Amino acid sequence: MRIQRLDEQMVALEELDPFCCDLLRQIPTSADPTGSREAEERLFTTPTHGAEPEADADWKEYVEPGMRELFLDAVGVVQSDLEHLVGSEPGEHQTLRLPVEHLEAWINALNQARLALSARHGFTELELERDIPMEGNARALAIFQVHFYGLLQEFFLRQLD
Amino acid sequence: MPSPSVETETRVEEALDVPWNVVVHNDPVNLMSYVTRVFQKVFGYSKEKAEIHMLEVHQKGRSIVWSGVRERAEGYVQQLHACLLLATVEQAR
Repeated sequence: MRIQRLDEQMVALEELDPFCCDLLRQIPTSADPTGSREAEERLFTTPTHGAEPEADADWKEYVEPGMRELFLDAVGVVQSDLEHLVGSEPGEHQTLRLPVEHLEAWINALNQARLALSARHGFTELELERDIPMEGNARALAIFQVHFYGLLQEFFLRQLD
Repeated sequence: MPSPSVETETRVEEALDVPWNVVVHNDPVNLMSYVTRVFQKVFGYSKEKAEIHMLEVHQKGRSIVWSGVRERAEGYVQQLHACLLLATVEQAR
């Protein structure tokens, strides 16, 4: 995979092999906290962490719905961009061109995915700082995803500096 | 002779004066560069100031990134949550 800035308006993820394409396609699923209390609690935290139950309850009722909408909107932008990956021959390397104005949404969606994956799998700080394990299990793949999405986030952040 | 009602008024005034802190807590997943950028974007901090707070979060586990009236503090916490940072509002002691 190669990442580069094309011009003022566009960036490109090039030479995407099927594995990278698959990881990109998994961003929306990974960002969805459904079915994991830990992921749900991480994405939708409260302002006093239980110190003021009434304030936290109000937050859940009045603020959280807007937050959910915001997060879904970001994932929606990513999902629609990812549709441009479709159509190439299976196994062929692909390119994904992204408008710079979509990068804020990508950064947010990638962050949702990284946080939800980490909460879902209960990754510790130590695990995340270690070398990526080369074991063929779901946990190792999830750590790889967290790092891969982090790399993309880092690149996108630099484009917005 | 002192008036008890005046004493009560003074206490109320002091309680209202106590600021509310916006506290950001450490999170091993959020990237340092991302946290710095969020502080710049939300509070309008310089990169240097934002980095100081980011490092404090990383090294000490938390940083008070803003203090003031509760309503504004809650507004900032909302913006930080929208950026997926772990943030709380608490009254300064």
